[in-house]
Amino acid sequence: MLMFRRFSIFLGLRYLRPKRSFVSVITIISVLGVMLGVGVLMVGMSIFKGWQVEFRKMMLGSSPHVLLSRQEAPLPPPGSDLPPVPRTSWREVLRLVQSRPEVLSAVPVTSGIVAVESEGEPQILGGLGLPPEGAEALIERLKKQLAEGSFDLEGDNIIITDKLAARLKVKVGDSVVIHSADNLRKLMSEVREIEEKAEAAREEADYDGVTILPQELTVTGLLRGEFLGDRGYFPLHIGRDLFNLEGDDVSGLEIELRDPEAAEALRVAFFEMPEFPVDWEVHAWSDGGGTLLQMVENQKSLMYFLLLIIMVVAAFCVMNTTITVTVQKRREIGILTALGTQTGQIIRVFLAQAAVVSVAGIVMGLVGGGLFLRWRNEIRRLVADLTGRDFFPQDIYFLSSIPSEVQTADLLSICGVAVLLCLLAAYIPAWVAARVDPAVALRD
Amino acid sequence: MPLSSTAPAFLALRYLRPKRTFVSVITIVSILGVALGVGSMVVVRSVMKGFEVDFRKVLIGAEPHALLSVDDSSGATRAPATEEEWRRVLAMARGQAETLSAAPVTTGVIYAEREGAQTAMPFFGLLPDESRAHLEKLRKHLIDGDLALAEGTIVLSDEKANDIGVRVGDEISIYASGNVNTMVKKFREAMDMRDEKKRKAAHKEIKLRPRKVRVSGVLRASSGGWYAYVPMKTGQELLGLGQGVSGVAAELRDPERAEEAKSKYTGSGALPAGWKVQLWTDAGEARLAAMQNEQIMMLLVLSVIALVAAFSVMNTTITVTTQKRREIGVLAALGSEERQITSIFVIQSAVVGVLGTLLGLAGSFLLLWLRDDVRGIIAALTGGRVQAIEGVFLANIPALVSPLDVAVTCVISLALCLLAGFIPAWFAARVEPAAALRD
Repeated sequence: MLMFRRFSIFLGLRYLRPKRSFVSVITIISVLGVMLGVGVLMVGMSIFKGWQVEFRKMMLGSSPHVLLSRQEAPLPPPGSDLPPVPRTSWREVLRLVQSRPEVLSAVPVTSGIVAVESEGEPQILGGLGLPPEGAEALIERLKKQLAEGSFDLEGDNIIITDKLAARLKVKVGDSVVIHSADNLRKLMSEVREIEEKAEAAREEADYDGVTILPQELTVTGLLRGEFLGDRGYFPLHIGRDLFNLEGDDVSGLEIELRDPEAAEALRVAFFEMPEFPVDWEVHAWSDGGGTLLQMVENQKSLMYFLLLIIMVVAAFCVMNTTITVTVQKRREIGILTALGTQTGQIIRVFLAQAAVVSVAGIVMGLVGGGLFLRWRNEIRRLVADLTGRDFFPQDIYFLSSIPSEVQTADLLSICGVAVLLCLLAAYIPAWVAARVDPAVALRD
Repeated sequence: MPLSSTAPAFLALRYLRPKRTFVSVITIVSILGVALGVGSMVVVRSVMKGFEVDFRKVLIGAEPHALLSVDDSSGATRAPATEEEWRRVLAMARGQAETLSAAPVTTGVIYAEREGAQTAMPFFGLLPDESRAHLEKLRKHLIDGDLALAEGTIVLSDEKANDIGVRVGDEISIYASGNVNTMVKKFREAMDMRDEKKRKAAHKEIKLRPRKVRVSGVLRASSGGWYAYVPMKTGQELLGLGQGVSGVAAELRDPERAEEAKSKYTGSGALPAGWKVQLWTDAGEARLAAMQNEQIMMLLVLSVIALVAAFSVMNTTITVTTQKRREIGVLAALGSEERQITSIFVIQSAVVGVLGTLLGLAGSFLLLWLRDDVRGIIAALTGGRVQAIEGVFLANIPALVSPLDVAVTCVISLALCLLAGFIPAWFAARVEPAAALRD
């Protein structure tokens, strides 16, 4: 061994701060390039991730983990003499559900589409009838979303989302009339048929035969509806009356899981279970925002790709710096080679230099990105004040403040890419420079 | 004067291709950096612009450009427009220079039923002769039947037709959703009545006003929206308006300047109190705003690429100025002005900027031209995971190269390159000739 072991690193550092020459300036500019790349990537990824996390949190906060609901039995095709599909008992489904290890609790509920009316047009929404006990976990979550009133399912009460209440023009304490959408549809059809008959053929009995099962409920609470659309919660027995359920029959099961992330897996498990009845529909908490989340995921990967271009251009900068240094040190490289230094060692001199540039750039980028994220909402306010343009309007992104979630995995991949690109950028000119003929280099 | 006026340019080009040195390599790397910056900027801006324009096309595709109607959003009991009122509004709208044509319309939400299946949709009642411009727009979205809007017919969208399983020629029942509301209320009241006679009287008042109509045309919902179209008279019957209308629909000469037309309409003084003007852009306002937001964010992000590319140019200029320190000293000693020396290096970075920009433009146009093939390759490589990037209904990647965007991109890129060249050149030009020559 010709020199001491850390020779590559020693020379690499030495070349970074030459006396009275310009290399340090171009090194600083390279560091700035890497810094910008890392900083912008970190900010972009963290905000996208933060939005996804917040959005999922909001969805999880206001939905059952899994909701099973019984649908209308499929009718046998006309003309066939197949017997109608027998209705499945909810008790059997409950038994199946409870046999799954990931299920924490499952309670019978009544769920379905309902129409609520007050002053204006009737509003269509998803209604959920909850039992007095057993659904505490869901009720606790929903209570956190209460904007006004209380989550009281004792009497003939209903809790609705605030935007819906605004459209219905009702306040806490007002009463609303609620129909099941199926009943209303039947009513509409029957009245239409009566009206389409000739005047003479109409009979009073026609109208008497038409049934309507409205329920008058008192609004006792308003939930912040942010984005999940219109929802209504009422006691289980009200749902029974609304949806024409006999005795202790129910139309759905509300399932809480040990780990909410297992909802999708559970759905798949149900599909694969041969004894799981076909007329029961599985609705996971994450279903509501599926397309929106997918869209954001797509944008996130597009953004990642674009931001990588910054890193590539920053690597070009590092490459330029390395080229300059290698050409400047051509004689020195010649001397080192003549003294018996290996090509690998010479390449490592310049790699060490690029590594220092990339590490310095990464550290500065992480600090800069972190600072930006720390003050993101203040910056946004400042920009909004200056330009009169809000970059994060709540009606588009559903959140009032810019979310951010710094993920270690994201950071590692950003740093890894930065180091790799910088080393590669330095390797190419270093490799070329190290293969110089010592005699030629010294002669010039 | 020792240097002729073309001397800076001559020297700049001379320094770009030195013999047996490395400067040309770092120049090429700088050019590549600028090209990447310009290229990604043009590609991303064009694709985003394309998405926006396509979306606007869908919006503009079917709805009237402007709809002047009684404002019922406040929930107050809707007083239908009197004949005197809407005739005044119609005359006013026709009198404005922005208006191409204007016609009275009825509008609302209807339920359509056939054999137990039911669906709801918004509708317009039109006079085929008066609303010719509006119907002409719809023709592009017609996939079956015709748009004659003869008495007793309806034109609806394919999705809604599928909902209730009808085709052209089938008969369906339709009624206005507003009537359902009052019908249900009246029915409930009647149920509570003990007195037989009173109940009968109440039942008589229940009016759904259904109409049987024949489907005469089907529109593509993905481009033309969910609206159904019926003749004016049917619309009036459904809504129980008599000879009244819901409002006036106007087609504009320049739909992009709908806001101007709106202010003309509202400012004319002829619009009665309680009327509002809805524009075709209103429906997608949130999404359009989001798109513009995204475009500005993207421009910011992409400018960072141009900035980092400029760093590369600056590095190159620093290297060259340091290398040519003696020569600069000689030039200064011979009496060259600082400005001339500075311009040598500024021209050099301008050449880098122009070459990089041209290369970037060429690359981006090539990529945009082949964009669908590129997507196909990416999809094949990732196993078909990458579908339409924006997750919207548009079948292939749209792109619209806006000359203004391209110009802005080129200006940003060139300005950054010139600035990046100027700073080190300015420092280099201020060198003391004696000091430079002594070293």
